[in-house]
Amino acid sequence: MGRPADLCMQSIVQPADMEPLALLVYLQSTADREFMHTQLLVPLLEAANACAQQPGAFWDHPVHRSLGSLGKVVIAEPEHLAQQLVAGNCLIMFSGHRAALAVKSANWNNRTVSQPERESTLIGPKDSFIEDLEVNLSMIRRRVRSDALRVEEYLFGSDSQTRVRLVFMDKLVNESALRQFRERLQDIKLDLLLDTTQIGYLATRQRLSPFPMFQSTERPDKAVSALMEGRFLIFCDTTPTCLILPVTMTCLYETSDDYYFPSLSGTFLRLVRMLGLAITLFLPALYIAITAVNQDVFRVQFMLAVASSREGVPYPAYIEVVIMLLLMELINEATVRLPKTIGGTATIVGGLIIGTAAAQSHLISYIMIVITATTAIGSYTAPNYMVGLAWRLCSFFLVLLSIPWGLYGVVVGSALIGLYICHLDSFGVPYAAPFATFHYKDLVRDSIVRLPAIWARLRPSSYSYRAAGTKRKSLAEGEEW
Amino acid sequence: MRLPQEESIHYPILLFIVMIGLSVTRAPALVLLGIGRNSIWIFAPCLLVIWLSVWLYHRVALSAGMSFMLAARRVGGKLTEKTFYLLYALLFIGGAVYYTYLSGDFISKTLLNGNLRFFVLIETAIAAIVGSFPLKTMARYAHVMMIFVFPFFFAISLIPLMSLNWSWVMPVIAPMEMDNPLHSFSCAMLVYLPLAALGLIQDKKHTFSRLSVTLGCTLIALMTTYFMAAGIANFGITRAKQIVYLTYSLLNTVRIENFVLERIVFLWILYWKFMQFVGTAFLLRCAARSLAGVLGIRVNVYMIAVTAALIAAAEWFGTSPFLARGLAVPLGLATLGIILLTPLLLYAGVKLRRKPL
Repeated sequence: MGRPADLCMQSIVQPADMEPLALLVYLQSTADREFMHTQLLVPLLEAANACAQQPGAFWDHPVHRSLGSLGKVVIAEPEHLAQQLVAGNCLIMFSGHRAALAVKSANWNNRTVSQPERESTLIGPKDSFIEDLEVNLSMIRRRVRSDALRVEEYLFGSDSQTRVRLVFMDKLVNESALRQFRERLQDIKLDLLLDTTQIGYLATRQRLSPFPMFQSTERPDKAVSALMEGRFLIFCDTTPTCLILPVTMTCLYETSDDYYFPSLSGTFLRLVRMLGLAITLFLPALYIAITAVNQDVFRVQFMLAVASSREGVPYPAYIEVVIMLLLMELINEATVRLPKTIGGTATIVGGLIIGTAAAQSHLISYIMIVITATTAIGSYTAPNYMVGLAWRLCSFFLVLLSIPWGLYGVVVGSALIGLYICHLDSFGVPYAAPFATFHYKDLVRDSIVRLPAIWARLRPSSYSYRAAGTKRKSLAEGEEW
Repeated sequence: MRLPQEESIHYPILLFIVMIGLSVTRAPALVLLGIGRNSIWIFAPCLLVIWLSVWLYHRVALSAGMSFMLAARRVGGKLTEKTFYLLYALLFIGGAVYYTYLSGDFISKTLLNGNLRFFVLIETAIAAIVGSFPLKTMARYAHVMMIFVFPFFFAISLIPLMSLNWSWVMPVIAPMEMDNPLHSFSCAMLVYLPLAALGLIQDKKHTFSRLSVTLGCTLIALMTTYFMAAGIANFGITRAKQIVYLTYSLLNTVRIENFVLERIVFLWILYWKFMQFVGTAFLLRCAARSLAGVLGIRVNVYMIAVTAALIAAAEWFGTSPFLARGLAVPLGLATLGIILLTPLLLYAGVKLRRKPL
């Protein structure tokens, strides 16, 4: 191990003859001092003191039995011992023995469970996953107290030795997807695993697609809900999020509030999100199309208003759009990266000062500010940041096509995007499901529209055919819908 | 048909979307040219042929228990299979040329005024790109179209109902106007050209519900008939016969005062474009698949590129204002021949053959 500075060795000696009885070896940086003191050091010293007057009695002291139940015996080979140390164990080596006792004594300094930061909801549970694998699993177990819950553990990273857990419901999970995922896990070779997204990208074999092929959540309720629809979860040690697979575009646009609110309100919220998506995707490209190419599409009065707004702007509409979209992305990136205390200032500077000043100096039109602001707000309605970013990229693609071809370009571009989304698969589940499949019941029950719980008591079939039609709760005979 | 799995796809929807895009372009105008007001009845004989054809394709699939072309090989040998493939390839190449030309022509006259040849070539390039996606992807896209596009397209198509002079459709049987029934019949049959894909892609993996296909074809007949009737009721038979894009002109007359759009037809074109987008690609892919069948290889990107090049060459040399009209009759007759005769011959072959396939 190269004599690490935090390596600590503490010997237990008999006061009478100073003969070392045992040696405690641990890494100071990982050891839980409280545990070490109360559970290991004090009992051993007391035993040594108690047996000080009786040579050989130390080995018969009950402390050995209690220590044995705390840890496991490992062969005292240097590489084995080093592995145990870096895994956060304390080694107890006894004089005259070729084996050591490895006791879990790590304190990884986990934070406490707190509120979700990215997926906040108005009502519903307020806990979120943390960096501790065991705590995360306990949140799942707390919600699903079923013997059908299965947990498998894998070890990834030749250097990081990170634990990864696969969680699924035995009788509901999409088996073919699970089999495919397990096969792909076997192919993953890493030196360092830092986050579940690494597993996500490698297991889904994602190449150039901007759309996330996995769902990442920090909410246990969302994870459990996915579990009961026949999907599976991937937890990774040191990561405060879990991956949900397989994924569809629809589930990326769902939030927990949709289900905690009455169905009509939940549906309304979803429609608002869809409107946000449509605005983000189409509005900048449509602006170019109608001002530069297809001026005859809109009513004359409307076009006159647009034209008068653009009076004095010295270049074509697409330059305006590109400038403003890039500016918006700059503000966005600055707001995300900056500390919260400065982030607000950046937004004000970007949004108000630059925007208004640019319009007053005729670099852009006022209507362009309206369009940019609406587009930005629309993009923020996406519950998943990754998918929101993907749509913004698509928006740039549409802008490019609308410059020469106007509405024709917008349609061709959006059809290409649609076709590409239809082409995507997440472990055999179409990414555009249930719209791109013949699961019409799923479409009606829970897609853009969410039916009241009383009418949607059967599980969907989009994610797992095994879960299809199974009851979420007990139904009277003949009540299935 | 086994439904649903996690990835259940209903292929008749794809056929429907392809056919609906094809049916609302030149077909109503071309049919009107031949038989005038009698056009309202033209789809009755067409539908009889189509229903029989769908039944025959289905019977072949059921009797043989294998794909259509494989059954052709087992019944008539390799030569029959290759001949069938060649016939289908010619039909689909013709169909793809016709549809891409129509699309390029339509767009160059409506949304973007420009060079017809340029737009036709652009359409071919787009069809080649889309055609390189698997059939499964196209079918999924068709599902999406069926939910998000077709209902709005259909609703907009019904708007002219509010301002039509139905007396102009009378008499609905006008023997004096029966100038060229064969021309009209073949132009109407052309709408069902994509149905020939039943012979190419129906196998154990891709199954087609007979009921869905039949219903889809009937709905297309009804819609096209509606457009013809509404066209006559809007313009009168003399003027309607002179209009190249009857459906476009019909919707273009609808003024929507106090609305954001100047005319509703712009939305209608955009919705049509979404469906046409997959239609040309589907025909191109079917053509590539047939050509690959002739060569005895599997369809791949190179075959699609070669087919797209063939289509582009045909359009480059053949582009003229009369191309669609010139192609309509031979393609309609070829559609009739292929979708009726090939399954009929094969079904007879399967039934007459004494030993199992």
